Amino acid sequence: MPLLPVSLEKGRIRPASDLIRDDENTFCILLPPTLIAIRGALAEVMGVLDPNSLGSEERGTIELVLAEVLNNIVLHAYDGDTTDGLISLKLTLARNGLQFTIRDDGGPMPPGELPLGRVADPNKGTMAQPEHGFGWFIIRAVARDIAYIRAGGQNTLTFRIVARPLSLDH
Amino acid sequence: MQLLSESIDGALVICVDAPRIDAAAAVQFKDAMRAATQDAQHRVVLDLSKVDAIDSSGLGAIVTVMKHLAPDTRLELAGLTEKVAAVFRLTRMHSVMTIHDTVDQALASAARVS
Repeated sequence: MPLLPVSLEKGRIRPASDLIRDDENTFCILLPPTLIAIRGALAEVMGVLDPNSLGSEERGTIELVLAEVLNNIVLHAYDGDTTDGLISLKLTLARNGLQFTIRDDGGPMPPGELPLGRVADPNKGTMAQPEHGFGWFIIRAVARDIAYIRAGGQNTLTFRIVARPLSLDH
Repeated sequence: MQLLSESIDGALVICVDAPRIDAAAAVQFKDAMRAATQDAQHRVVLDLSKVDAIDSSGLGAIVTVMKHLAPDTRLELAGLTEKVAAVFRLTRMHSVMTIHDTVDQALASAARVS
């Protein structure tokens, strides 16, 4: 039983603006695995989050974490900017925050624990600062209950972002 | 990516004229910065006041540029919007780089030092 109202069918690409809403508390979009499509998807998701019940700082954090997760998928699960593939993003409003389910049909994550990520170290010099790895640090710093499953040729990442109760602006 | 650069009081001030430094723009940003800073002297002030959003790829690109310029040229930042400043705080980059509220303050701080 797929979690989404539309199954992930290889090669079937819908623009980020093609929205599927199965109920008032859920919002889904499909996007091709390109960096440019991520920009559109972020705008769509942020567009349904009611600005009156969510502060600008919270909105910025949500947008950032989603960008990091989607960038990782496009750059690592798909090795760059292919349009051969499909990413689905499902957002559900829960009492304890925003629950995200992000699924793709790209390559698997490396086995073992999810990456810890890297962060700047003020005790080290300029040349010792990391240029990569900030993404997973950000995801882990903000998201809760992060879980990853590889099954049936699909990756599924689920996580929650704590936010005040709000409604989706449909 | 459009960069507007200008030499002011011995500093090369570069304004990023783009709304995002994200994964889709990071490579372009690095290439444009390398070209724009070829003749940089001691100090480059990167004006981010027109940048609305940055992600880890954009942040990594700024670190790459900072390392590329070091040790002869120092990269400093100015004019971070609230959303961009939050990313620097979250990744502790704000404690590694020199960040000024505005380009004017960046230039004034150099005047005080010298």
